[in-house]
Amino acid sequence: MIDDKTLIARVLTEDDHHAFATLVKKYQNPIRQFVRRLSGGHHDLAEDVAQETFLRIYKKLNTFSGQSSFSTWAHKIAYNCFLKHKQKAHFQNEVQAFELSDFKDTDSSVEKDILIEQLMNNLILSEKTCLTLSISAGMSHQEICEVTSIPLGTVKSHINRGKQKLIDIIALSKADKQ
Amino acid sequence: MSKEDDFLIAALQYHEEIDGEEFTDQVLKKVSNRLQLKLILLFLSLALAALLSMFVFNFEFKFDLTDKQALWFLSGSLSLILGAGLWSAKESF
Repeated sequence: MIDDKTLIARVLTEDDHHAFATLVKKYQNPIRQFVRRLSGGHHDLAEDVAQETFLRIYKKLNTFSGQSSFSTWAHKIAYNCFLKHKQKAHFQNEVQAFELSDFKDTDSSVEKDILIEQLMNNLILSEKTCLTLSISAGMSHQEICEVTSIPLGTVKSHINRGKQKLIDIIALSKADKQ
Repeated sequence: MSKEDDFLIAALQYHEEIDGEEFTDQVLKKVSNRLQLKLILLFLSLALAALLSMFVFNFEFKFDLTDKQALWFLSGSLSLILGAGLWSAKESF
């Protein structure tokens, strides 16, 4: 397996599209998951944002310094693309918020995924972003700061508050069902 | 950890494997289109610049300065070149 630095060097020096395709294949899944979570169920919009992200990565690859990992850098671009699309599309107001009656205590991972998408619509964007990057993408707090440009203390509080909000909703839903 | 905690972590950590082939093809197609567009813009700008140079040269020696058509042509060419340049600049940001 060729490492990221070699692939990036090939894209920059030889404009090697195969090397770029390898980078896209490697990172498309986490980036698409990330923007899907942020978009709160708008999968078409998430796909547009993900494609735009990789186009920007291609354009800005020469500015990648290597100080952070390629994954962190790519997530930062994805986050900025998402913010740009959000400003244009105003889709935040259209998403379906989670209703207590929607809750199903399921073992199916797919159902859990759909449910969590709806649940997360109850969080503000910065909480959603920090929580997704921390738990779903497995990033450190420092990496989340780099992606979002939010101070470290605020990142920590966003994660804790977001998590607590979701736990409260789940607990409330369960109590409501019983 | 509470049951809610477990549920939340499991749901957040779930990663649906999305097929990357089609997505990668679409991205590469857009990259190629963008390069083509840049080339077209470059040629268009060069062609217009050449045309304008020729025109200015002729304009200097053959046309009357008050010739309305010539002025329209000149301002049209300038606008096109400026537009193409701005578009290219916007693309590279």
